[in-house]
Amino acid sequence: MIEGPLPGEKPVLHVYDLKERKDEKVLEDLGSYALSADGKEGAL
Amino acid sequence: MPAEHGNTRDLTQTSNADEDHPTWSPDGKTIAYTTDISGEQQIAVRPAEGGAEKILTHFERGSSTRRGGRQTQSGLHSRTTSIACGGCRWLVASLFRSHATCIPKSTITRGRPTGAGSHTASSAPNQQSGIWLYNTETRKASLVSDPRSNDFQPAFDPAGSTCSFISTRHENPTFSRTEFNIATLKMTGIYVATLKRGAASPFAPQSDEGVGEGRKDEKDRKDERKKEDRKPEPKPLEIDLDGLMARSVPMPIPPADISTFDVRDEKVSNSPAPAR
Repeated sequence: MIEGPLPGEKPVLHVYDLKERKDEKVLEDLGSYALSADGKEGAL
Repeated sequence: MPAEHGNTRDLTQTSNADEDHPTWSPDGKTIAYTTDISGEQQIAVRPAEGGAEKILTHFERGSSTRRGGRQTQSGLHSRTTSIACGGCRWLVASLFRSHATCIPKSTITRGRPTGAGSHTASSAPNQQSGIWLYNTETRKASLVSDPRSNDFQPAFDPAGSTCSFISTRHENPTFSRTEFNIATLKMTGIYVATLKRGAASPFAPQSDEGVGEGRKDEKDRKDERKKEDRKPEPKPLEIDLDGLMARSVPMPIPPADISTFDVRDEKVSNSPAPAR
């Protein structure tokens, strides 16, 4: 039966810093997201 | 919705329209969104503080999806940007200049004219999505993707030096244990192409050799910090189309199912979907 994500799989919000060349997990278990104009705030 | 205090505000005050895909202009003064107030999905702009709606497009078969939002951000300071629209045509727009142009289908010579979106999914012979750029000054459309690649969701960075996009270039065949089928999982990655030939790749090899921090005096360091804090001024994009895709490099992140991402300053956000 096909039902939902595979065990252990969660949606994660990543932010990659091009300057530092680092990927960071910011948030887990989110649906969708949108950023403010300046990118400093986000709505989930 | 205020970021900290205050009530949610109904900006459009409409009860008879499907409005979606809102996005800010880079200066925060205008919001672009899609609306079907005229019967088909069109792209509109409205002052962020409230005010009259201005519908910028007049598609007979509506416009495409989320890409409109992100690309309109580039539209403010770029002369070259692209958005997929319905009817297998192209909208190219500098939306926040209130200037939009549709390219007739006849100007598209090969491949699938889309920056993303699914409206044109069946229009390409090989079912691959390609990135087109359209110069609103010369009115010339150029396919920059290799026809064999499935590239979509292009986005210029705010400084106008790179074009990032999603592409399904990872091959992750997974064999079924119960039948002779192969599933390809987590095929997508984010790729970054420098717009100007000769520009340094954002992921070029780094070396600290010969760079002694101790040799810099405090004034130099302060100047560097000031320079780093300064926001880049919006300027028209300059793009060397030749070899653009050859200059694209993968962002060093694991393969995933990425359907959308955002580029703000030097931060690229994305939220891969879990495998199902």
